[in-house]
Amino acid sequence: MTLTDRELDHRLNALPREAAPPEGIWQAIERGIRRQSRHRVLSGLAVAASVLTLGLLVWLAPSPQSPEVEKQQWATLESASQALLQHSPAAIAEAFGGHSNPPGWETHRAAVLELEQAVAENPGDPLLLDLLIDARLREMQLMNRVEPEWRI
Amino acid sequence: MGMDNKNDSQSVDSKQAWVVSASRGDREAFDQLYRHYGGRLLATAWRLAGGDRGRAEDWVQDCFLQAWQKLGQLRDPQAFGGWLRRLLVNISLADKRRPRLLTQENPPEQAAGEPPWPCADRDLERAITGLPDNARLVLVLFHLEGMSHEEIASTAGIAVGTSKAQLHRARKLLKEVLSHDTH
Repeated sequence: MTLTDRELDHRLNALPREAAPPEGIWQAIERGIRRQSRHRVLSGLAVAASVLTLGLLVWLAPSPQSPEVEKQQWATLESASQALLQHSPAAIAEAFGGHSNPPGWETHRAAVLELEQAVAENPGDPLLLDLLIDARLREMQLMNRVEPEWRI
Repeated sequence: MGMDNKNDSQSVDSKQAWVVSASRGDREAFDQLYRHYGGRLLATAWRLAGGDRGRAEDWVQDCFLQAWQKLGQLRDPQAFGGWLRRLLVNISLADKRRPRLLTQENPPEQAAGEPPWPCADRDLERAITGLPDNARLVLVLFHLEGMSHEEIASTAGIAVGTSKAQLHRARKLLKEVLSHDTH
């Protein structure tokens, strides 16, 4: 017996259009989303830290500079510092939700908070800013040293 | 018949609200979108994958991950269903173009497994999964997803005439196989 076009259409129309969405796929999607946001935060930190380091190297280079150039460099350094500070502990914690902190993290956080406060009180102090940059870079090293899931 | 006709009782407003909230980073809203569209997408993926459930699930997962990343680019929340389906088709086409490494976990083509839903017409499902890739793609998108030849052509990057020819070929092959089965 030959199947007619009409019969074929009828059978195609009767096919189910959906399955139950499996829970396992959603769990894998959630893990992927967490990885994506972690990567975003860490990439942001890495970029901001690189800009800051570069800015600081230029700043500390022993070359005669006009006050105007120095002012521009200070502004760049300050905006890069702000970009780095935007990645608040809360944002980082959110990105790393559900995972334990890297070893030495708590002690380091306390030191960073103290430095942030000191920089806020003395916004023009290059030494404090330098220390804060070092501390932030150390923070990234701690993240990268632990389990693969923390790495950039 | 599109992705958004799935559940008429589900208000259009709440689906749009989920899309808007998810685009602002709300994971609960994105979970709701998965609950609503995931099953439909899996059925489409299973058929496009020729009955390879593992591959279909990988595509659905990739599709939702890409959707999460790109949701900010979607201007019209109402278009979410069609947008998601286009993502899935693109993922499936890209995956098929990629050479596959044959390993123990990734063996050469196997016979299609059982569909991931209660199935009354196994012969037809089997015949669809056995179609050549391009003919199957067009048949699934035209008959089961309700897309026009113009939409299929633009989504799959083929000419409208090619889409029509592939549909004709798919239907002819199905009729041959199913007529043979009924003898």
